[in-house]
Amino acid sequence: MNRTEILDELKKILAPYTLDKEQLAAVNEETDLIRDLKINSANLVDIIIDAEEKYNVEIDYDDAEKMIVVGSCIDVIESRLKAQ
Amino acid sequence: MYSIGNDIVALKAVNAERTITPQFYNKILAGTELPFYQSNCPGIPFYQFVWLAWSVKEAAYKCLKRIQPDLVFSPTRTVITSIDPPTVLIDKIPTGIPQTGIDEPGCYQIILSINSHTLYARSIIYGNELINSIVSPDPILSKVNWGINKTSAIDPDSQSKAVRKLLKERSQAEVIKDDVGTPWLNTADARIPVSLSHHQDWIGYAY
Repeated sequence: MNRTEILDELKKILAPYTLDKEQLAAVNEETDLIRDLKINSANLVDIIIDAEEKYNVEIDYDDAEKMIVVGSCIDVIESRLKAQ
Repeated sequence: MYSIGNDIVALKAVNAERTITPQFYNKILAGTELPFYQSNCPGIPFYQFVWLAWSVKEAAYKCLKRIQPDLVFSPTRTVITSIDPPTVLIDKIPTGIPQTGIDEPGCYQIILSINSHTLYARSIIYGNELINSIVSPDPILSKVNWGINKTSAIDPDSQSKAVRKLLKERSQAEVIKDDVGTPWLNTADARIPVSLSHHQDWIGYAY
């Protein structure tokens, strides 16, 4: 799975947690989940668990704390998939 | 440097079933914190304990980030070292909440450690509705000004406007943000650290 494919799937994971559908449609690797998508921080753990379930990977807390920007989320998922 | 952080959690907006799975709570709780639930938090369901921990950790992060702008939020490395439970549990949000001081009998008094810093929290759980937490480097929180309010809109921009309006009504001062996005209450005499929070249909502030 390449970065573009991960990004497409990640958009689907993020969709239930943002009301800003315009920003969601324009998501790129620089997008900040809290500042740009206005996702409430209380949903960050939900997003990490949704990603774990989607990709059948385990994301530990060292990785989880990087998952604030979309590009970093993709880095973490990509590295977990490669480690399988 | 004085600082402050707050956080609110609208309990009706959280997934209680998911919260009590180890996959979820192990991303919030440090290993040493689980025993606090059995020993120090009688009378609340486990999912509320997890969100109580989240709330004080988020507020602690906001408090310390004002002093350390490069701080990264790590819930499991923000460690609760002490919890004194309230002497009374509050089953609903009362009318006429005091706007100054948060040392009432319904408060959890919590101490946290982040890196080498010790921070002091007060949290109130209002039944199944809301958790409100305030964190300061100062162990005395009797002079903290704070407020919570329900809003009709749940979109972030409306909530942001609503909390600023509430603060303006109560303090007569505007909220401004500095170059790194940190909020301050701009009074006639000084710039005062202020913390703002919103979740679902609730807003809150502390300064």
